[in-house]
Amino acid sequence: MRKIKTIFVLILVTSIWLLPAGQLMVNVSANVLKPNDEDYRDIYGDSLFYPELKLGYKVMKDFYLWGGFGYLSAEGITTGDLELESKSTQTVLSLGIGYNGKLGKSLDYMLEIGACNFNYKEEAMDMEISDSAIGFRVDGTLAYCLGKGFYTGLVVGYMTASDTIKFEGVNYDIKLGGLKAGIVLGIKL
Amino acid sequence: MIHKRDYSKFSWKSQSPVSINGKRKLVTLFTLVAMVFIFLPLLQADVSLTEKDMIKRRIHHKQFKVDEQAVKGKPDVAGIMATGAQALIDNSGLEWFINTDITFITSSSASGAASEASYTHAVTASTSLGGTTVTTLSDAFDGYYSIAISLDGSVGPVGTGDPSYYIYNNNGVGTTECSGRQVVLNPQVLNGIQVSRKIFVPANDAFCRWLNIFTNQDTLARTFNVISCNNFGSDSNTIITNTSDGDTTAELADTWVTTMQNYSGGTSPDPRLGHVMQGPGAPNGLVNINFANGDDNPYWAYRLTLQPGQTAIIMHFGVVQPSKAAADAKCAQLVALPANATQCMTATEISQVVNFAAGSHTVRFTAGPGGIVDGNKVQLVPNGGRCTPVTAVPNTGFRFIGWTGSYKGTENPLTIKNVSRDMVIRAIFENQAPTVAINAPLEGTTVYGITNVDVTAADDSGICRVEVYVDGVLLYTSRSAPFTFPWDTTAYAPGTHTIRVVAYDAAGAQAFDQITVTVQNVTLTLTGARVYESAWIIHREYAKLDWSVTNPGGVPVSKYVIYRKAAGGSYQQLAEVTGSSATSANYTYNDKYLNHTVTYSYKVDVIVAPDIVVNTSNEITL
Repeated sequence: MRKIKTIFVLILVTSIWLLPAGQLMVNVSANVLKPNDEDYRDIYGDSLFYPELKLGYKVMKDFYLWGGFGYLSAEGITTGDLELESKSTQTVLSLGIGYNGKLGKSLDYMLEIGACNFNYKEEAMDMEISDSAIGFRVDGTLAYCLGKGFYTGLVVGYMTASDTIKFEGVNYDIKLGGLKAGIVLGIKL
Repeated sequence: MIHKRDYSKFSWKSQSPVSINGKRKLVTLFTLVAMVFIFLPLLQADVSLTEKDMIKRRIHHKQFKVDEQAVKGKPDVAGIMATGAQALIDNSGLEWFINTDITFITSSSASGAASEASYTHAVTASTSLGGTTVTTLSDAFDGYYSIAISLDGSVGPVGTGDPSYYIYNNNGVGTTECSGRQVVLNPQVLNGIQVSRKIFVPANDAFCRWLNIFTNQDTLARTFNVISCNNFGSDSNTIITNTSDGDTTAELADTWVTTMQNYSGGTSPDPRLGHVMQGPGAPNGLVNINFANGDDNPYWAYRLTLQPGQTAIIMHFGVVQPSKAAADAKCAQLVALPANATQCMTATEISQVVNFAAGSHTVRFTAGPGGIVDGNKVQLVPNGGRCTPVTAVPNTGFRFIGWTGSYKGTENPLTIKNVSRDMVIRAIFENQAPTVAINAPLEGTTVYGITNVDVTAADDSGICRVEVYVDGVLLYTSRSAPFTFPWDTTAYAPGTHTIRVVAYDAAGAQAFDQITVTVQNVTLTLTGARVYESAWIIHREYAKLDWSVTNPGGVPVSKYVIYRKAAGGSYQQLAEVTGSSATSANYTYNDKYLNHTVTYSYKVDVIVAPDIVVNTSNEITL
């Protein structure tokens, strides 16, 4: 996982440094995520803060490739009489293609689709368990151009993955991802 | 100490341990023998020279077996005339030889007579001039104090062939009693009167006592005389040295007479003799007495009338001393019947004595349980006299309370004065109660958990058992130290409780100690359940243990120790929870490490520093 993150960051930095102007797009978003997994929601809540960093590279006319890194962390209380503390973290690495269209002089929209890799971990009751799963995601962004390449807007999306994990001899099916919505701030370089 | 001499080991002719004194006697003896053979028809002595010779040989020269041809008597089965003597040494060192198993005809040397009494060591003897000389006095008696009875009123002297007399003799081998100090001779019936004799020589005094016991076996009352037969062995040198009334004439009223073999050259080789024949005012006193200077065969007589079956005893004391004065004093002493005089006599025997202490009384001392009476327990005390002191001696663990019966008092030792009646006095002893004390817990303290009740108990006679009662209920019994009892207070309600400890000694006496303590226990109620706890992915099964503590006394609980055991296993400590002295509290502990296929049991100990378990919870199984 650490290698993947490292490679992702290297590609991103190299691209920014090598590519000509007007070809790159960088944005960060602050999202509220509603997890897909009901058990997860029971422990960690229905809405979680999910920040994400994305990097896009214009490959032809209005299409671009993009990659993203998101991080999800939550603390919860176990179900049962004991109500013990538990903690879950997830990192989401995404890679996909996007389309950047115009709705007006200062209003753009962006549609994105891609694959994502969920690395998830849970710590509870003196135990820790972690694994990863691959899923897909779609995002849509309505952006307002602020000038000098900066833009802001609203983003909604959905990402999903599923996994089966064996714990103490019992298989548990889990769902990852969820519906998210947030605001985005970016720049086109 | 009694010595049975086996005279058969010695030869009269070849192995006689002859002393200078003995040589002189031998010369005298041979001279006498020669004279007897010459003047035999003329002699009227009660014992033939052959008999006297044989007695001397037997006693003085240690010859036990005698020639059948030499004596008159009845041969035994083996055809041997067997005679013997029991040697008894008194505390002055005088050795008495008591005839037993006499099988030849004799008068003065008959069964029970004494012969050849001699000191075993040198003594300080009186001399004619009033001085002293140190010498081994010996050779008293050639046959002293045999007895015969007469039913025709004869009062002596007794002759072997005289039909008026029945001599007590030829009655077999005697036995001993009273630790070997008393020779008991067999009963012999003499014309309807059964006669037996007991001859006693004390180890703590210097005399010889004869009990001559007569029982009328006829169906009619019988009156007869009892006559003594004597040969002092002092021959014509016999002199009367004193009598109880102070003169040298033996009279019926005299209670004692002393004699000696007169001085020759200022000294006398024989001891001084005393003859205590009766007590003052005896109901059956002397009816005849015959002592004369120059005659060593005195005799004296008593008259008895016995109803059918009645028994009477004539008691006599023979005294042998190194001086006339000592002989007088000993006689006077014995007449008063000191305690030593009646040693080894039963109360019945004492009561049957008829020639002593007329009007005397028997004072009998007995001991109750728990002690003994030390001293002469049965005393014959003259009327108006006093008994010798006796001491009540308690056994270990007992104490002397006092006297009861004919006399009541607490003196110890006790001397009854002015005795005027028969008395039976009993010493009473009381068992001393044991001591017992509860060392722990202390009076008024607060206790909890299992508290040791520590008891000390002691008694001179030993502790038989110790019992512990709590609130009147017997909880523990122990028969041996240490007396420490683990009292489980958790079974008792909070509040005051009484501990009573009772100790018993071996004799059943008891003592107790009692304290009151306050029980303030911690009660702990344990509940629990297996719970299922879930995070998102992680799921675990827990044992949730809850306990409530009630601690009204504020017992300083240091911790609670949780134990768990799997089914079929044993309890292992699972965890500790710090406690407090709160009057009530609730605790929860989650056992996270469960195998969901295994059943577990739990319990919790309440611990007071240092690691004292004061209570344990109920057990639960989950």
